Amino acid sequence: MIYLKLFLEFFKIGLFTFGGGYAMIPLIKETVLEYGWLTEGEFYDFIGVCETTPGPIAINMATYIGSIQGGLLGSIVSTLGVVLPSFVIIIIIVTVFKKILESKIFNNCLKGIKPVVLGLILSTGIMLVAKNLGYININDFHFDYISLIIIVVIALIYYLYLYFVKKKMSPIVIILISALLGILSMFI
Amino acid sequence: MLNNKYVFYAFKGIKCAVAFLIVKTAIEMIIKMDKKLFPTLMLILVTVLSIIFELYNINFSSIYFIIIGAILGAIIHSKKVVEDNHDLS
Repeated sequence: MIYLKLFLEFFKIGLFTFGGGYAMIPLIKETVLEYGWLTEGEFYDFIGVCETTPGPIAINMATYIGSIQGGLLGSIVSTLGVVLPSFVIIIIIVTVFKKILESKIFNNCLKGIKPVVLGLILSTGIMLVAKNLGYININDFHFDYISLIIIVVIALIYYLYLYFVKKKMSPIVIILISALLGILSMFI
Repeated sequence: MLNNKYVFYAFKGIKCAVAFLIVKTAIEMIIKMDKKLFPTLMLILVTVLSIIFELYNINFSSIYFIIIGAILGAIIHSKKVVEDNHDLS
């Protein structure tokens, strides 16, 4: 039954997400590709859409995938599934086991998880850059110099803005600029 | 909607921005990270292994990485506490 499957899979994603945001991407990707809910290309397109819309990536993703797989009810169960683990865990910690937060074992586990999550985010980013530059599979690479130019220009704009304005540029602005650069690349 | 030529090229640009944003976020977080031996080793190992798994299409869920990280964290950091206590005494 699709609703139960959506709920359970997003519950699992919610349960194993430490670090929020980008840390969820590898896990959602695995699940979504395993069930064929989206293609890899559609998945990365949608991360771009999620960046420009309000709310955390995982919730936007759960609502979207839920709705294409099971309509309104599908989107409700997926969203509930993804937020329920943190809700339940925090409620339990706050009401019953306040000491868990002070527990050495719990904190040591979190210390061990942090570098793992960073490694997962970094490898996702590196693979995504490689795919944009033309990586198809281990034997196939078609170098896409236009994507390289777009990435370099975005990085330049971001760091020049950071240097001169002393403020981080919002991801929404970055996404909008990149969409414009993409459209301009049609004319190269 | 993706069949529209303009939308297709806009998404080509957006995919590049998403790749940049993810790498940038990871690097910013790594700069702030504790640079001790265990976290640095774990970071390098997980990054290299997950790239290799992806390149060779090996199915290894990131959940396992997280569980292994938690277990190793509990073991290694608890040993450190014991050693620190010895130093104090």
